[in-house]
Amino acid sequence: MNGFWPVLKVTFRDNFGLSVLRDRYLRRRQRLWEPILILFAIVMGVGSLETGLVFVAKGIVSAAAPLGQAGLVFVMAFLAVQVLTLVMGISMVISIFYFSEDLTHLVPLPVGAGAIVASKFLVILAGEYVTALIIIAPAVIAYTPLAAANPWYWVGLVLAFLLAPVLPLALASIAGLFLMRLINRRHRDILMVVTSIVLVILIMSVQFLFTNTVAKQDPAYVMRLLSEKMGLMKAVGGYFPPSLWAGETVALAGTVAGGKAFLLLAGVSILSLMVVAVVGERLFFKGLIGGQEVAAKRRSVGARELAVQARSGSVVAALFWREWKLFMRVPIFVMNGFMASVIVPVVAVFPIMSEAGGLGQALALLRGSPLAAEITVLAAAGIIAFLGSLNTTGSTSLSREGKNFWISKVIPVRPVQQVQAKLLFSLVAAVISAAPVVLAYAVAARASLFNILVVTVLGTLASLVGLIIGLVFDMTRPYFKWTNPQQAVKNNLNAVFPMFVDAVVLGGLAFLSVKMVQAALAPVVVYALLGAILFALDSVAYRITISQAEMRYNRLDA
Amino acid sequence: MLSIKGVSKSYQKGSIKAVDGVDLEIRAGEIFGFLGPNGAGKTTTIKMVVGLLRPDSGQITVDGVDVWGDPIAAKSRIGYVPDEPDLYEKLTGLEYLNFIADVWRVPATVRAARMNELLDTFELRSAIGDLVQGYSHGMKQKLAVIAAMLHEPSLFILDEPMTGLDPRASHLLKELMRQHCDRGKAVFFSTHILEVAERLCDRLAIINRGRIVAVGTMAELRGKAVGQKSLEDIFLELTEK
Repeated sequence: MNGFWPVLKVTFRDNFGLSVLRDRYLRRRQRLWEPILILFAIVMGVGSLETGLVFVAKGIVSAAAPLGQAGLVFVMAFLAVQVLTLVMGISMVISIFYFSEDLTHLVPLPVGAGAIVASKFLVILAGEYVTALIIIAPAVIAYTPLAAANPWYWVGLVLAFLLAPVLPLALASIAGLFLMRLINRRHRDILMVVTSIVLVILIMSVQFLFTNTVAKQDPAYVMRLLSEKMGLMKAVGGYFPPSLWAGETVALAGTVAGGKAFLLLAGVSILSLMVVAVVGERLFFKGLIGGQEVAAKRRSVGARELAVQARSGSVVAALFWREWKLFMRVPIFVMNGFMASVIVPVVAVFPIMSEAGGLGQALALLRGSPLAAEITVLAAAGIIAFLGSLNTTGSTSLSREGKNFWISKVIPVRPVQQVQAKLLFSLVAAVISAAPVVLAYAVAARASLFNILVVTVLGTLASLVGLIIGLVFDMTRPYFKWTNPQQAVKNNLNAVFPMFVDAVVLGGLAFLSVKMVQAALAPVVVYALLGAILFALDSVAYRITISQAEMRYNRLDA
Repeated sequence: MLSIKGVSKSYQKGSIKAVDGVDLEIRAGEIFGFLGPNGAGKTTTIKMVVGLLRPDSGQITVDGVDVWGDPIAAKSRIGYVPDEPDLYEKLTGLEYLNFIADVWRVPATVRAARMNELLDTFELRSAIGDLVQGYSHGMKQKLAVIAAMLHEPSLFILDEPMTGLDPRASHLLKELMRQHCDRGKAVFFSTHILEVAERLCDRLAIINRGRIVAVGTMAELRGKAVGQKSLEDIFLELTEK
């Protein structure tokens, strides 16, 4: 590929800000405390997550080892990595392939589309390795005592780690390239969001139908899984066979079967890369040009029409609608903000409706219990709160403005009012985010109007805690220097830190809820107490945010 | 109209002085040109005036209102066009103008009339319903100028405004600046184009390495530099030191 290496080098430097980091920390030696603080926060945040995952991984190993299937832990870890890469990959591919600002410099270069696509693919892949490391590391910690002596284990581990995200990312890239080639007309942004969500739901549904078939097998099947060599691993790996190959590359390293699994994984990965290169070479520029053509249309507004459209509104309304439009019209923001909120309940509805899966059976069992209504109300509110903690709407509020932040600095509006508008938007985002879960809850639990209301209010109040905390983080250290919207969310640590704070708060509330249910308090009392606590937390977080707004905005340079 | 007194700004813990004790007075009814070589401190000074950067020391007032003491009142009096027209790409031109008119509290009837007038002047009506992301650099620059003029600011500040504008738009902007001053308001702008400054400005200041090295009318500047005739000669002499 002509010009591949220079393009790859510059794409890496631009995407990860390598030149900026080297200049700041190595050459100028400025703000050296920053990387130390960030590293500390990451160690603290990721460390707590890893502790939990190591605990789970050790449990799997100790349960599966007597059956001779300890490698199951790797199959599960690689499966998680691959499904995550596939699901999140489409939005990342679309953003980095088609919406990066560096395209204005790359496209005029005398290099083929394949070189640009390949460079960008590798940039995304590099980011995926970070996520993969977080998921695979606990499996390594749990499994290594069984295999440390085998040198082939380490070779297999490195190879499987490097290859695991390749195929799902290649599939996401091919889907993204086709999607952008097809959608190049008006309303491209909204079509992109809808199609991506439908695509992910489709993948999940196929997955469900497949596993549902497996679940309906006779009880002897389960026995066979336990007794047959690699039976469990094969059953779990059946979700996405490359995860089985990756797992076997590690667990069976040094054996013929392990070598065969590696060859399968490597072969399919290389093949998928070749398909990406061919599809990229043929479709990339066409999809890109389609986008430019849309932008070039001209829409005139006559004097009379303008007199109607140039209507005045309040300052708060103007600020709110600015937030709304600048969020809703960027597909990447919408997908990052709401994708999980839509997909999780939709995917959950399948097993609930069929009552075949574990979730469906659990719900059917629960319906007979006297605590059913109360537990489902709290569980639904908890799911909304959890999805709310993943919602980056608050934690990227200022960062999303990017290089346009100067406008917020020169307008004659107090920072407090600007922050209030951002919070109002976060509240609306919390309600939107809650809606699919509330709907799924109402359908699945056949809930009363009162309980639907309770779920909505508790879930929204709980989501707001995280959204407000996120805004405080983002006000303190916003990330303005992004060149594509994906970076504003994905490369933004402000989107990560509040999740840990939120996890502690929500964990505490979940514990309190369990204790209150065990104490046999009346459901209304439990709801009222939780509502009061959440309202108090929101109020405190709101006051802190507002009290900081003026000072934080004044400190920020644009 | 605009008073800048002893304003300084440094970066990297004081090791780089971008602006060093700048004093300037811009009066109502005048076009004031701000000249200087690249990196002299023009944009930093302008950013401090409009509230984008906080000065380390000194005071800036607009119509007697302290920019950092009462920022909202000061900003209400300013219309600003930055050197790079980074506007909201996902809003249409009209949505952007409506947003600006709302936050500057321009009444509906006034804004429609102003928009109509300015859109025709800058020939932007044909694209005003489009998303800003589809605009050329020059069109964004025009939109930024229209937005800055919607509320008829007392002080119109432009940072390198001619960059990216075609000759016709550039001419129209110069006319607009003159008309604005004729209504008793002030224009403060930075430029590299010395001919524009020479013909358009009532008074000029030249900044070099963060310090004002000359200020006055063209005649006053010529008087200071004996034997020198053009602004280019004066500029080169003062900034080569």
